[in-house]
Amino acid sequence: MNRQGGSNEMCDEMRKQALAEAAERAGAGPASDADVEHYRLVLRAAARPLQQQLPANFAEGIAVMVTADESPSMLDRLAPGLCFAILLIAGFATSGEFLLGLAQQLVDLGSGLGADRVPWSLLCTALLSLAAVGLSDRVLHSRRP
Amino acid sequence: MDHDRELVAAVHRTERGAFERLVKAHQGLTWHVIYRLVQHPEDARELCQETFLRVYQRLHQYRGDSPLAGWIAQIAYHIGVRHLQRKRIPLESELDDADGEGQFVLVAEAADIEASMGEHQVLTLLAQGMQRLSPMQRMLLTLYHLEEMSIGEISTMTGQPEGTIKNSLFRGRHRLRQLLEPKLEVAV
Repeated sequence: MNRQGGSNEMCDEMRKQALAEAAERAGAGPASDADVEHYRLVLRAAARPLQQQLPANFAEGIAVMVTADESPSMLDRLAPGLCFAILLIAGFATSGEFLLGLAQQLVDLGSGLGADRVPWSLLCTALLSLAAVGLSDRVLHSRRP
Repeated sequence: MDHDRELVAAVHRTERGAFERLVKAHQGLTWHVIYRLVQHPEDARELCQETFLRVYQRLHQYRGDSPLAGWIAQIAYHIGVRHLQRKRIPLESELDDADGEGQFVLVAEAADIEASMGEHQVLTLLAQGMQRLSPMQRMLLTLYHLEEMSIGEISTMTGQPEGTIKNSLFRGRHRLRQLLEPKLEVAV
């Protein structure tokens, strides 16, 4: 019995809410039912703009953040080339003679080298490493719009 | 929908100002979703920022077969819900009658100074009362009545069945009326 009473009450409230919504949409005058009128006030309150808002320059700030993330600085662009040049110079300065000797030996060795003596595993590993680096670079870039 | 696709394509082409336009077009809805969930201005601003950074990172996943607003609102909703989970704030639970009652009465007393409450005071009172609803109810009332989103759109955004959304809206409105009633009786 109580459950039925509760259910009836709920249906009644639903009906009042629907009436209030319809009256608000139609811009009707005050309702005779006080509950419906109270629901209309509730609906108006829910449709009111919030007092707190995002700052006026929010969109601009986000766009700046995204652009900064997207375009690397001059230092970022030059850093890899600079590092490579430093390593090259340092390498030649410290072991230039040794490297030249080694290169000469390799050329001498290569001139009499058969296909079976080519270090295929080393070459394959180097090529696979390059492919992996290239692939990861492409994947990282494709994640950006 | 065509406008959404054009805007997204402009962002992909890294057209100057395109992403700013996208943010401006959707920041209102994003704010309503997040602010109503977390109800804390500073946190809400940070979460809105997080939302748009994620939108930018995932924009290539937007296929253009649904409105961009809904897609962004979905991201904002998940970020807001995750924030509440981290803070251990339940999405569905309302404040008890005892909580916040003092604040509510104070506002009512201020409004009673003029012997009877005008509509402006009543709406201010209801805005205060809104804070006592559950985060989900607050957000749903704002999305449905202020943003004028349909139940279907809200259901897609939240991943909840339409019946659950309707029920939550009903309970939120009912609770607000219950909060309002005693104050109106005092004022009349």
